[in-house]
Amino acid sequence: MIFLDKILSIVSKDLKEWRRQPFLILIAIIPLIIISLFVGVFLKQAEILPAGIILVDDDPLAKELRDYMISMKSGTGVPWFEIENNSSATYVLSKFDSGDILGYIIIPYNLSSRLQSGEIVELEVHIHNINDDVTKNVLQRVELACNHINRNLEIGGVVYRSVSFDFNPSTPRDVTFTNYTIAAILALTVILSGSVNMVTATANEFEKATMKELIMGSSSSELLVGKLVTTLVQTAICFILILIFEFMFFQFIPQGNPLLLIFLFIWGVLCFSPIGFLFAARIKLVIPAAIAVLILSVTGWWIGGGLVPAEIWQGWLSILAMIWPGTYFFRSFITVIVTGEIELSLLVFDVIITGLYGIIIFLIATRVFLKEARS
Amino acid sequence: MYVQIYAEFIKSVRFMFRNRILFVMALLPPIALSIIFIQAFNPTGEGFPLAIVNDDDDNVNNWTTKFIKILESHEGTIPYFNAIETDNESAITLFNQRQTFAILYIPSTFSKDISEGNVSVLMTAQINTIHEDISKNLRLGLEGRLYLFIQKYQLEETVRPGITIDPRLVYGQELRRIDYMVSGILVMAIMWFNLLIGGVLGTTEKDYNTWTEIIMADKGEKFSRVGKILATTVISFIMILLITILATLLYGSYFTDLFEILVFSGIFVCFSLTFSILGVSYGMITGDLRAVPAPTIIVTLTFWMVGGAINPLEFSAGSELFKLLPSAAAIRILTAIIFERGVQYLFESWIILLSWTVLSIFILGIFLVKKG
Repeated sequence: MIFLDKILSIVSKDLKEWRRQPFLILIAIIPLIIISLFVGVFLKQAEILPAGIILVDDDPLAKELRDYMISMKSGTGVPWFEIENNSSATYVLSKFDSGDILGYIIIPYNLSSRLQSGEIVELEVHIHNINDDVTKNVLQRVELACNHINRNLEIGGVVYRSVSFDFNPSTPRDVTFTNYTIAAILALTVILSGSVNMVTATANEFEKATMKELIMGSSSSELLVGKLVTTLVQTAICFILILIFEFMFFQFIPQGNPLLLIFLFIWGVLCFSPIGFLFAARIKLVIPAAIAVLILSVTGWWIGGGLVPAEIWQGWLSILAMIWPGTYFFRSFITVIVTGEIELSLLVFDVIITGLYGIIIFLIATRVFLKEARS
Repeated sequence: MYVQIYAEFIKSVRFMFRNRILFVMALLPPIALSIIFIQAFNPTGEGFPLAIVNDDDDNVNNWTTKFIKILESHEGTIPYFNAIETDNESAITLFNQRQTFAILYIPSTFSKDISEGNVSVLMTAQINTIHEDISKNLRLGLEGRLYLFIQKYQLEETVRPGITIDPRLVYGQELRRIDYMVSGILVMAIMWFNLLIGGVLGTTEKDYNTWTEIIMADKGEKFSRVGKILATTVISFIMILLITILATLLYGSYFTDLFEILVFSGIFVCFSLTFSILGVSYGMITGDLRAVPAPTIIVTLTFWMVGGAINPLEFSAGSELFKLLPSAAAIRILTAIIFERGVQYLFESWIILLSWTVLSIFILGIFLVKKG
């Protein structure tokens, strides 16, 4: 009971201190809100390609092709092309010259009769190839339209067929960039707030020269558990605030079993707050240590799957992502909170990797902390 | 007046160069960010791993072989795929373990149906849609492979009608995306240096408790501000020079003639003035070095990304608004001058950039007049 009492008193003291210094709360929350706004407002893009189509006659197949290109949609429900109604050559060309559209397609004369005579008809696709990514995106969309015609061609009484894909997605709708990134920001909240809060809870004692009294009044385990519990509570408050923000601004609703999410939350804080502990013990000043973990956490977020899943990286970036334990935490947390489910073996693997990291850093941090606290 | 400004200028430059840690910290983020982003957008051609469950043992007329060959080929549009032929159970394991984001099921009658030519062949593709960018690449990437297959083996070899694409590129030579990003990286670096160094210099007087002496001197705050702005611009110039030399050594030079260098210098002057005024003013208001790095990172990255650094502005929503940003204007000018892309925006972008510079100088002028 004395053990618990001591922990509670450490926690209570730290939380009061935290409440009295709003700056400490702000440095844990503001970067996350700003990243959310930045991503959700400024990067809220789906690649809707502005393009034009020139129809030179009223051929029914040409119209079908045009209508298909206008109607084809991505897995998020967004049209692949943004095409205006006006398909006159003059209008489309002027839009292309001014750079308002990135490409235009000319559907040639007598499409049906030319196909009926056995011809392979070419569509002219003019592209503002500002870079090779624009070229690729235009071409792929037109290829999709060509496939639609080529695999279901009935012309002159002859039927030509080919392959169609039946895409079976892992989620009811493709997860948008915004939703994925919000989930990643929530995962970052766990890591960032966890480590920053640990920094503030610990480095504060050094800054105020109260560490010696604390060491004398409590055992190391009481102190360490106390700081961990403080961090858990503080991070939970930050997480809830960020979640409310995401819900209010982006209507983000977490999926998945709440107990699993709570487990992942606690696990994340336990595994990643020790790095804050280490920085606090070594630097002994709140702001420099907080900035250091902020930079580490945000960089780790980029590398570990903050904007896109890290599995798509290639080269040395993929090696870096593989080494960084945050990658595994992001993977599990994001998958659960966005899709509501995760493959058990993947979850177990990720939990073990992050757990090992947490234990190693915790042991190192404890050693450094006790040495610095007693010196 | 000039003596006081010059004294402040020298003091600020000396401060920066004596603080080697600050100097290095200022240099590191643009270098690190550029390396990370360039690597992220520079696919090495290894391809997306694609698990294939092939149930077609007959392989009539080798259609299945041809199809898989197309899936694995490096022709046509990226992404390329790295085909992993395996059984259903292993494919599902790979999929669940995220070692592949897609499983393609080739049905048992695939080659027979293709041979007949008038039978639709439905191929199931299980795809991981955890991120729209991945699912887009999978959906369109697989359709791209299918397009190649139809074009090469059905339209051309089998002599059946169909439609294909005749691409006409405005710019003869294709520009790699990572090369395109160079403009954005240079602009980001200029912004970062001016905001960070300006912010740091702006905080020095309050941080080092010399603020009282500054304001007690006749027009001290005014001259201090101007001197710091000039120092920020010069120090930023030196840093940009270092970055450019490093980039040239690593990647070769993107500037091919004196005119391009002059234009870049012009952009630097305009941009530098705008952001050094902002950085120094922010530093002088907060008076706390600790409040400088985080907002600097956020403002720099925001202006950088929405300014068309990774892809042309037209590709994203809000381009009509974002083109008014100084970063967007600077990126467009550089892209036009170095890579001859988007030349139609040159005039408009110069107007926007110069407007920001004039506005910044005007606001500084109002402040200086008010104070003195």
